[in-house]
Amino acid sequence: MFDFLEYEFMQNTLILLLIISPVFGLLSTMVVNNKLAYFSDALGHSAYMGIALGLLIGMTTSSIIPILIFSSIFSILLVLIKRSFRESPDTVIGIISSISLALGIIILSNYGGIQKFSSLLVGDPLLVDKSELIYLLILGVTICIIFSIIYKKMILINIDKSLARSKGINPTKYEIIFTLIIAIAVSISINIIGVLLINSLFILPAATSKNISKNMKQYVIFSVTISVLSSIIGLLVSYYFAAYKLPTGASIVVICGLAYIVSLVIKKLNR
Amino acid sequence: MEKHINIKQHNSCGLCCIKIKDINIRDGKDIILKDINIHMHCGEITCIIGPNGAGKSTLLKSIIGEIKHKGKIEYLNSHDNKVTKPKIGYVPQKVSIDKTIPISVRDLFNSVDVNENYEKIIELIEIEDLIDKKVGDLSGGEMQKVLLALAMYPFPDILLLDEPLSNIDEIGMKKVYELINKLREKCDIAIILVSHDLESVYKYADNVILLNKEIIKQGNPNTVYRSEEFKKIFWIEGEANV
Repeated sequence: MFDFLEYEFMQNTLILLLIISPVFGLLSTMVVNNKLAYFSDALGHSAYMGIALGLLIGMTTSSIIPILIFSSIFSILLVLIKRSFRESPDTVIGIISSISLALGIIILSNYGGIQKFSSLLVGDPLLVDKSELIYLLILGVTICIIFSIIYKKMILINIDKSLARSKGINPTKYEIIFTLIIAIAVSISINIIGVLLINSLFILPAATSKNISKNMKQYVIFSVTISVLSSIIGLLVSYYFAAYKLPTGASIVVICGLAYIVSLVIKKLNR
Repeated sequence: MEKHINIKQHNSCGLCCIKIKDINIRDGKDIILKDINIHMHCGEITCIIGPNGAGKSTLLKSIIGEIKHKGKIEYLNSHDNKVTKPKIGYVPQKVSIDKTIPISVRDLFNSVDVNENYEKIIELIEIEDLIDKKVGDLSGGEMQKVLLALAMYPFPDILLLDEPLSNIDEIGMKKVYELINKLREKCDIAIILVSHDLESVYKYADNVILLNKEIIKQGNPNTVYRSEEFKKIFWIEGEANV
């Protein structure tokens, strides 16, 4: 059963998924709670702008640094514009995302057109290099530590910002920290999962978990478990059914989607 | 028989005082609040009434530090009149949480970073049977009781309630008013309540502040309700029901 581990690229991919899937599981609970589904999607699209800026300053397309920098700026702008101009988050996300995607397309046209960068659309976890795993692990652990520190505060902010403020919590500060860790998670996994699918991993684990959870502890534990199991099963499915040409990223998302359907049935039966 | 509740009281006395001094808030050229001065003591309920857009909720949000303002809020304790930063409990008008999110009432208490036991607060507010319920499954009245208990944790010097009864039925409303009164009597905290329910305000308030961007009138309920200013704002609109 474990013959797939004989190949080094499969070992790397498994380690990679074991690093990033718990991160998605954790973050997805707060993404769903804070109705930021559209934000993670927009961050993925704006990665093109990050790549474009990277090319302008002479970096390679595979470097995550420019994507990371641009995503972080996007995150901070989102929170500050939302707060200062009392705009709805969807509107602000839509505006920043469209402008950055358009500018990205314009700049990339001068570097061979956006088609040249289409690999970013679907990503490929099988292409991960062993040397990348260490920094992915460091970033993944960092995100988990920050999440555990801000998690309780985000619950109160989610209930009511004024209530959180009365308990000495500065909502703007924690919203910036939270959107920044989403930006980091998107940046480190965009080449692996792809622009088109990354958002589903921010939504499906928590959306599934909330159907079967009674409290926040269960919600987080189930979300992480669903994310990790879907990733491993998705990888195995794409490996053992290689004859059917099942891309790993898409297989993971389909497994997550099936888990969501099962959770809906469980929810219905428990009523 | 009423339960005996040993809540930590803050030197019940009526000597602790809260001074809200010269609060001014502007939004560009618009004056939102002008020269607000309020002086209150522990064990008192101060009710803020006024027309829509008078700045009632804004005043509460400036007290919790959410809205930038000029002026200051001082809390003088009963021991040595030392000015300290008051602990504030706040009950919002309503919360707009997604009802499908599995946050339990216990999760809410656990999310407050305090090394105190919340069991006594839960007993005081009588929400023992709600503690493991999902927040999304609570009725309007139950939710307000939970928010009231949450505002009491950690034990505050001032309790601010922003129209906490606007989304609940009459029976639930009466129960919450009785609870607020019980908190005043048992815990001796200073309470500021924003309300549109003029009848209950008259019944429970020690002081009433009639606000319309500035303090139009303040005093005991009798003084305020009999004033020309009160009649002008409420009776012309045909809303007075006292």
